[in-house]
Amino acid sequence: MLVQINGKPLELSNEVSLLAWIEEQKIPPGTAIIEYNGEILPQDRWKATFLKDGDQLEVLKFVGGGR
Amino acid sequence: MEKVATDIFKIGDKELSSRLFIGTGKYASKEIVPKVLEASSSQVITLAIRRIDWKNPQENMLNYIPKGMTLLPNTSGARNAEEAVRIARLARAAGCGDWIKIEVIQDQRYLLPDNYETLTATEILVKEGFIVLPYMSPDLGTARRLKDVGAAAVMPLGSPIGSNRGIQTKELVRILIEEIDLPIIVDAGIGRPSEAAEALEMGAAAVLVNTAIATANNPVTMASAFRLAVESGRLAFLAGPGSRQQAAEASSPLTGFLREAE
Repeated sequence: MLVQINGKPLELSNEVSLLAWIEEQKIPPGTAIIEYNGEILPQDRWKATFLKDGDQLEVLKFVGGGR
Repeated sequence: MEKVATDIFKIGDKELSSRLFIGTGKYASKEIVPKVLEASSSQVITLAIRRIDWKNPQENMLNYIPKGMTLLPNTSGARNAEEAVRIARLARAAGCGDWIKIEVIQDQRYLLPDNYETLTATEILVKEGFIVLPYMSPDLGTARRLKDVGAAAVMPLGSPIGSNRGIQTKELVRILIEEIDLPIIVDAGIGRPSEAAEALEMGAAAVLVNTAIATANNPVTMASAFRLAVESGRLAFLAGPGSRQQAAEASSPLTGFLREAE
């Protein structure tokens, strides 16, 4: 299946939950913000959400900012 | 020094004693950020949201900000109200609290804010319960409308972002301070502690400083300098500066023993 993550296509071979995928990327779950198909997805729903073909994901974090 | 101890100001439901807000961008090394924050005594810290860097997925600015600080995520990157609202909701979903600094910019050369889109975003987010601090071009009409729709403060720019050119918009900022019954926080352009002091002397409630500290040779010492300048400017404002005039006025009477008064 093909998903879009941060604007780039990614081929996934097997079914995986969002939480498992995040952990696989070595992203500490408490630090990422996820927009799943245009909707903010709270962290308590990552475990039950399984990536499927055509999903669009934005994986975001806090960076330095100001003026 | 009694006045300083009790000189707090309120934004949303928070009472603040520090009038120096700090931005966390542009630091050569993030490890220095906690030291800068400590030296500044700041209580309000801005940060931004971006896509994860896959080369360094564990990196996160939140790791460098001590607990207990009020986080003020900004909507930088937004080019219209809709994008600003989207970023604000994401920031809140991340557990960052309800504060949001609206920043809507299309102009890429001077990074000047779009007041119209800023107003639109402010109105939407206030209704959603956010404490909204809009970054804006100092314009009285817009500031009045921002207040009407429920902004918690108004953040006029002093000069273009990152320019370190000081308060070029002084007269317009002065008018906002005089006319708008909200905290006026000078944001962008402040390059020297003396300019921060100037803003506070004028009656600004606070200043937001980032580039001036982050790009100093010694950011921690510069953060201390800004803390002192902000305290000094505020004290001067509370003390009420004397009036200005063209000609000299001697500090001690000129009549005296050498000759009779003229």
